Amino acid sequence: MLCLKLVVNIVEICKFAENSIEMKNNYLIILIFFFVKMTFAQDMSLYNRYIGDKEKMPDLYENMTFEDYQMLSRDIKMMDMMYATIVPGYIHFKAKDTKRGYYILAARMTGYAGLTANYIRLNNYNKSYRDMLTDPALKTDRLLYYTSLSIIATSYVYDWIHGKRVLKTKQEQIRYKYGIKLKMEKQLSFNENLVNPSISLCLNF
Amino acid sequence: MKKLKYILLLLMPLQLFAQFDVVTEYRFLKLINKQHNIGLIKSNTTNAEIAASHFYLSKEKKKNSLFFDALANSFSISKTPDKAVFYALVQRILFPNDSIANKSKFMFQNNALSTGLSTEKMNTFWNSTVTEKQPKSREEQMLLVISLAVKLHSKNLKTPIKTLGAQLEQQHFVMPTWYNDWKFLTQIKIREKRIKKLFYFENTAKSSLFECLKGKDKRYVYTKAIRYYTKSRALPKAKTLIKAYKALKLPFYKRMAIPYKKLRIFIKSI
Repeated sequence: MLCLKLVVNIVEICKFAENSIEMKNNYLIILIFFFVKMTFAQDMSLYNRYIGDKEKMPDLYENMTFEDYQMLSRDIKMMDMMYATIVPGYIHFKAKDTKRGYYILAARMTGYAGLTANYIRLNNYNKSYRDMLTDPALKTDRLLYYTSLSIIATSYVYDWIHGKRVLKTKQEQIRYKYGIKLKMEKQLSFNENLVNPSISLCLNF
Repeated sequence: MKKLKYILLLLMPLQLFAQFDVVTEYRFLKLINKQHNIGLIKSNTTNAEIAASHFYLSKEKKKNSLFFDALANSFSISKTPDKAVFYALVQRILFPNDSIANKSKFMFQNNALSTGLSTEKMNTFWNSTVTEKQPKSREEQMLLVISLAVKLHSKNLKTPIKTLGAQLEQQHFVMPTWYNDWKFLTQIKIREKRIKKLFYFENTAKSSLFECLKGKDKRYVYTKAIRYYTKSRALPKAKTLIKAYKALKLPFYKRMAIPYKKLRIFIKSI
């Protein structure tokens, strides 16, 4: 829709530009600007794409596990919302809450199974979806249809909102953990493990 | 005096970036244990376990005993009783401390019962770790921890037991046959529930595992071992095991399965 609107706008600008020769140059500039914009719009993201660990090497705590690093560098973007429509439980899998992810997958599959069963039943009775909404004899089919739809929608919304919360909580825990540990290690006055100056000889074969 | 300053300056970074500092780990565990935030505790357990593996051979008793007690408490709060018992055992045997022993008895008993131990067994666990009864050498103490931990038969304890065993092997300590048998059984991916039925310390003390096992159990271990070696492409070993397996008294349906096992080896060899 956004692209269509843009195209319509550009056509209008072109019509206006035809009226004057001076405007032809502007027309070219607008076109170039449009294509440049298109090339940058690779990732559909509402967040700032330049804050990421692709740009720079992150400062890591030396005892940090890879799993913790992965959790910290992950972010939920608008694109993930789209992926979650195709892969049920995607956000939870991304937040490494696999157990809940599989529950969501199962719920979504149940929803799809319900819709399929509803479709088969209507086909057997030679009825359309419009009949289902009005015919009192098809009350159970209507119930099945709405239940299945609500299961699919609820599991999707739950995956999105709860998954995001899970990821954020995990990130907070990791930041808290390493933040405090780093501070504790820097507090020399509390460090009872004094290092004794010593000399050693080493012979490697 | 000037030189002393330089030495102090050299020592400072060493303390700042001390890897796996037992005091830091202990203080952090104490802080999060008090908060009772299970998510936070679970998030820290991997780091704490990595750090713990560096302290088994340490001679510093007081700090390590406090650390291992806090770690056991951490697992107790996060409802992982098997690991809580394991680290409590490590603390009691490797880093004994009387004041901690009095304080942590209830926690130990509670977790030991949660792992499925009977009251009698739990009491023998507690009594065998009393300071007076313990072996004197560090290697034998570590072996005692391993033997008690193996008796818990928990899948969560495979990695920490193997880490402890590896450190013991590094000290050129001759490992007993039962430990090698247990390692073999876990390696070929036999579940702990099954190992509990197969594995007896008395049986495997002198002779090899395959000699000790009889009937169904022997066949089961053979099939699991063949499957493991085939999957991991150790094909000559799998072939020798098949030969030994063939020599056993097998029922008809088990004999029928042998060509299938051979076919799998053949496919893997392509």
